[in-house]
Amino acid sequence: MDDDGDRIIMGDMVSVSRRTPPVSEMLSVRTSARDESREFREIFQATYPRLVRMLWFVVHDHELAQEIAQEAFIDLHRQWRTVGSYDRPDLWVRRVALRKAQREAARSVRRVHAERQAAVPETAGAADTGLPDPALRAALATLPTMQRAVVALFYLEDRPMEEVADLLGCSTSTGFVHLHRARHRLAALLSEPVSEEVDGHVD
Amino acid sequence: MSIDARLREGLAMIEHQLPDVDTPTAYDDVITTGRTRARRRTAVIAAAAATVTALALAGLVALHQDRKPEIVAPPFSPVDLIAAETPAGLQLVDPRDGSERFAPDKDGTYVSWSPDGGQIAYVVPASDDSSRDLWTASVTTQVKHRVAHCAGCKVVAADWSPDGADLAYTVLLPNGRSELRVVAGGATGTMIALGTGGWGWPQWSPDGTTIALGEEQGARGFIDLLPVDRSPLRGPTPKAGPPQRIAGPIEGVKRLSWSPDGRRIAFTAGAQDMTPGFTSDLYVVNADGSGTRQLTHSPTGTRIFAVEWETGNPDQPFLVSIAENGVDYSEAHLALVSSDGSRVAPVYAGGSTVKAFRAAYRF
Repeated sequence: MDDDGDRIIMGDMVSVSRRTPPVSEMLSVRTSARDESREFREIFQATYPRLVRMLWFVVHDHELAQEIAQEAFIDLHRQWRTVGSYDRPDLWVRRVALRKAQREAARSVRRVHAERQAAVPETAGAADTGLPDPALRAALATLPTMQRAVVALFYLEDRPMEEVADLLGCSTSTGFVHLHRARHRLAALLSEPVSEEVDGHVD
Repeated sequence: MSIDARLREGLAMIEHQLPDVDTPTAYDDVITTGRTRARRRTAVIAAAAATVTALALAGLVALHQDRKPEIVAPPFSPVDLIAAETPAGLQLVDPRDGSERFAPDKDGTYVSWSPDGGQIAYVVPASDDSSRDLWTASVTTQVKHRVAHCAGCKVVAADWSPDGADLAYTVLLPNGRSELRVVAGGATGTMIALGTGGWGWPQWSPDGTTIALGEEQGARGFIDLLPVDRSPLRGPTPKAGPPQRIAGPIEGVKRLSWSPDGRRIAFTAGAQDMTPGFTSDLYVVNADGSGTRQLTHSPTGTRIFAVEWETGNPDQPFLVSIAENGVDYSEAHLALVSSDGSRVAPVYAGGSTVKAFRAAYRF
């Protein structure tokens, strides 16, 4: 059921990100947008750009990261009456986005595997070319989705493990397990030394 | 450099080089898509609700149609018939043309209609009259059942409760005493009261709380009222205390009929024998025992066999079965009698002794 639902969502995501609305619709949207909650707009503006970047480290596709982030905000918009009363609606939308990203990443893995079996060359998003540190990007791409998310939240967003675990829907100790495995795998691939302690937590 | 430092530095560099995002456009897209989906959800929910409602209504209609009993048109309408004792036996007759529609038994007598007109109860004597059994028959299917029999017992008459659930009947025992019994829910008749004399002609009150009984003690006749409780589990049971006697002694108390309001009882009384010159008349008594009044003073040789209280007339006249030439019942007929006892009009001249006509004349 989730798979079916996601397929529908992903189809909608494509239409959202790649469709250029007509000017009249844009005007009406911008006019009616004034009626939307000011808090929603503020949270969107403050959260969306950083969320897209963080999601890139999970899905390694800029377009897909934007689609996932927008889908998460559409969910937030739909449930704004409830979630808007939370202390941190931004954390709610991040949690939703990460869950969607994990599902999409898993789906991408299956798709790439199928393409390899069909001898179709793997293609990277055009926007992802020319990024620095290809060795690190290649090493990150070998990590499971959960480990990529932990690495992005822990090192890029500098969040404590308690918050990382909360966003990923796991326990703190499980979060550290994912971090430990990611560090050791990346250290091996990048030939970097790895300490036994991170964030005050001994591996 | 440790892996931790490499990751912090490397991820920050990559993030810094990622393409910018068009936040305002993305915001508009989110709002537009959110609203579109909300409208779509509303439409889907409305369509689903309409579909569910339509299906529920269709189901109810189908259920209703399934449960609607199949109406099998009887060969005739029971309310159009009267029960008459003719030389050929007990017959259900169409009073409009005198045609026979159903002949339950050639020896049947003392007929009582069920409240809905769908059944009759009647008494069938043995050939030597050593016993009399109670039978019922469906007017529409003409299926008959014997509901009461005991050797040496003689069922006198029966009457259905107003809701048609219980059939009360009286029976004379070999020892000379009489019992009031009730057939409830298809069970065998249960004795609910023991009479001292000869109870006959039971008649339920319109509210079903009392059974009136005509009683014969030799040439003397009485009317007794027996209050009953009607339990769904145990059926009718008499209330404590002896029956209340409200009328008598009057010779030859026979058929009883409660007024529609349950305040009065009409009955026939007269000579018992069948010799020429006997007379029976119409009487009325208040249910509290007061006001016994003889309404008709028939000439010699005239006999009123049965009476029904006409329910739809504000003057509350009576329908009576009457024979005016003594023992020759071939000229018996139904007539309307006004509340003061004067004859109004004959309504049926069937040439037979009409014993039960409630179903035919339920006004």
